Amino acid sequence: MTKTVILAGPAGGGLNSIQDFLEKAFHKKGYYYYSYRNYMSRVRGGFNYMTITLSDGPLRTCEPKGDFVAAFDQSAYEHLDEILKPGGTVLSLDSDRDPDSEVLVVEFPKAEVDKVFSHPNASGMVALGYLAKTFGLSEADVDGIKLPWSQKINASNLAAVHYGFSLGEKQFEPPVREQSGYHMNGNQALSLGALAGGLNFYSAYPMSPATGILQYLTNNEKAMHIFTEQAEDEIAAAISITGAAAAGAKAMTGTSGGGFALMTEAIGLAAIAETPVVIVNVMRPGPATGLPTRTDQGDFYQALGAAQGEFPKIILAPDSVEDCLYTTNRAMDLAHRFRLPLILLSDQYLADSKTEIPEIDFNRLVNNDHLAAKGSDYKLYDRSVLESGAKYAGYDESLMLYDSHLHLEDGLYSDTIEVTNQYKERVLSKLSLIKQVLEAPKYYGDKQPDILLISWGSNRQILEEAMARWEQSSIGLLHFTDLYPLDPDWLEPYFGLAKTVVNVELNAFNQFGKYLRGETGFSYDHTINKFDGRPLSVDFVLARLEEIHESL
Amino acid sequence: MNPFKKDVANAWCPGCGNFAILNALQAALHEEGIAPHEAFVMSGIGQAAKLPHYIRANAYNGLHGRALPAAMGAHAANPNLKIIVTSGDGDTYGEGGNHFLHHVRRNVDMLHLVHDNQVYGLTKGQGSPTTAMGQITTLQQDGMKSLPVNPVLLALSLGATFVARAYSQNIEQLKELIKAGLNHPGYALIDIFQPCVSFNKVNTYRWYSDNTVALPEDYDPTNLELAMEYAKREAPEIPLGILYQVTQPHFLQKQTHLDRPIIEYDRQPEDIKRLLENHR
Ligand SMILES: Cc1ncc(C[n+]2csc(CCOP(=O)(O)OP(=O)(O)O)c2C)c(N)n1
Repeated sequence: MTKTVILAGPAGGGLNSIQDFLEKAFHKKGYYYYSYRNYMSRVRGGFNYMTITLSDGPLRTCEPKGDFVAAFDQSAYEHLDEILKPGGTVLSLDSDRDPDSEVLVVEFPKAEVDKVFSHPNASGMVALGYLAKTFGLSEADVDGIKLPWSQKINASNLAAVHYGFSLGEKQFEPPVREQSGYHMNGNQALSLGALAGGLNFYSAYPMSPATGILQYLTNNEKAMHIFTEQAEDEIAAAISITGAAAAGAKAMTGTSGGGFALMTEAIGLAAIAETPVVIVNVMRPGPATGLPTRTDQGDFYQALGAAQGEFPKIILAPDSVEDCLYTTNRAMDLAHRFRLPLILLSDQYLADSKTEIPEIDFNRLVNNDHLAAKGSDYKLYDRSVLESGAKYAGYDESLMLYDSHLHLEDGLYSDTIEVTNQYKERVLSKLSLIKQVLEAPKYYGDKQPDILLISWGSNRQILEEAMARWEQSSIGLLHFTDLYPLDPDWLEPYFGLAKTVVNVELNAFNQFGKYLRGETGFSYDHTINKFDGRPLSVDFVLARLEEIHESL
Repeated sequence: MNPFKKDVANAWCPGCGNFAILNALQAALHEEGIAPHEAFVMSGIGQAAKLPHYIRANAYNGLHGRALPAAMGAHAANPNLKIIVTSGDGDTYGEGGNHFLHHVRRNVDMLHLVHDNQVYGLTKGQGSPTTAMGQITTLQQDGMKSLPVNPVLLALSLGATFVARAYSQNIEQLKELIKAGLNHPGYALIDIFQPCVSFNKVNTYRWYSDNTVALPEDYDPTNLELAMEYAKREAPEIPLGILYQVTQPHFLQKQTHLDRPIIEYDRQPEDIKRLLENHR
């Protein structure tokens, strides 16, 4: 059983709280869930909706349309064809609903409702109660929902929930299972991964959809004894982490594409000065301000080409909410091991996807220092040291000279031919060493696939779900989280494996596919590109696969 | 022997005012009993910003305009390091203008030496934010068409807690001002007139000697209105000395959740269990 509830209405109308209560209470009862926030860049009003897919088994993504749409205001009716499944039910929380509507509507008579609740946004609580009953929660389960407001408001709201409960009818049997795992979204998982890796310095400038990282880390700075700062701009944020790293901090910043553009000079600085930093780009569609609250994978080229000159760097892209935690933890480690800038590409889909992630495997999490012994002889840019064994200013009595020019081993500026060539050698040797420790792409699916999909980042689970439903031919997925540098050897087993290769990206240029082809010679015959600012969807993939299959 | 002295080739022009600033800084650090590994001398890019290469201390020569954010980062990572930022007027008030504004607001505990030669040195003589209106430069052949920034007045208006003006050739005063700045808990700005012998044909050694004066003996540096009045004074009576100094909680003192440098907390991956409970 998989059913989807959509809460639709204006920003500031209480959707977020209802979403939170619903997820927690339903999850407690045994349901798995995967939710995603579809919202506009505004503080009040507009058309926004929260999708919460509920199931008796683990979920890889959410469904695009709802079996139940809780319409918080008129705007929801205008979008019903986008968000309601055929035969789905609308829970009407607004008395001005369209009288000609032909969809199945459950109305909460306003006069009745008004008797129960005493403040405006409580209508959502009625819907929550109704849904609780529908999905087989008990009155006691409903009482267990923790409401965060004053006693008086809580009491009124709880009454509203019970009232909604009394109107509903049980339709589904909740699954019985052991409870475990955690609720979180991608930005939170990413923050936790960084904290597990020892993050102690985070400086950023607010920008959707990356602001959640700054918010989460600042909210938790006391518990974790870390420093966070709202910088004056992204340039300052990115530069400050290089300074912090030069004094021994484990530092990170985060932004979206526009802020990332401002950070690029710091990326080159971190590379030449060899200060380990992690720079997160939670992608949204560009160019310029683009679509602030939507998603895509349009910044791969930007990450690849960020900053002037040739230098060592690493680009990673987590492939799920859970993986945001593990990949960011690995990012912290790699940045410090190789003393370079590491760019982490997440996106709004992951940032605003919330789901249950299983118990954390602490064996997979590290916080290594990669430091030299105190008191040892040391040169900051010792040519024989390509990884680990670092010191920083103040570490012991050794003196550091961090420099943004080409430099000698002690950091002093030099522009001789010899030093210039030596730097290039260092860049290339570091990159070949890094290739050996990055993770090869992972393969999912049939052993001998007719169709081989290639993809990266947040598309992984959606493609797996599409593959699970695809019956017309055998199919496989080669999925990348480690994007730069690429080791051509990784692709060896996949040349000639499938009848046709399909590159899947949330952009129009096939940015990663072209780069993959250039670096490894591994090419594709077809592409699936989606660039409407919304996440990849299973139906979209299946429809494109159908076309490709027919053309074979 | 001063441990901050470094035997290294120097790329400044013969006769440059920067030499005196370097000497004064080395002397002040040593006389204050600071060891080279306890100091972190940080800069942006420019002629002045080459100074970190010429001093035996921890050093950081970063990007044009970006010394202050890097210094904030280093200070927040380890406040046991004495942070000295040393950069040009273009670096500080031009490319780095936004950072300057916000670092004054933050009152980060560091000493900031601005080598104010009123011209862009390294890029060969263009006007800087402190070049006087009408002054002819290698680029602005018809004279500067914008008003100059008054750095000390700007800093005062932003709520700076230590604002001083110095002249590189008043070596003894400069050294004392540097010491006072090193000991000031919070952001200490010293805007130092520094003759550029190659490109500034107006603000010469002679010009600075003729146009600067000492603050009166009974000057009260805790009076903001007085400081602003003196900060406004122009040639031939530009005052040198501490225009303003008050003690206020500095940036890290407001991070009350930290009782030691962030890098000194022992951190393990399992620490996130403290937060995971909020995700049940
Ligand atoms: C991003 C960037 N823009 C421009 C430059 C070129 N540049 C280097 S130093 C400088 C100005 C130097 O003037 P100032 O900061 O006053 O220092 P001075 O050389 O006079 O000591 C400029 C424009 C640069 N290095 N980086």
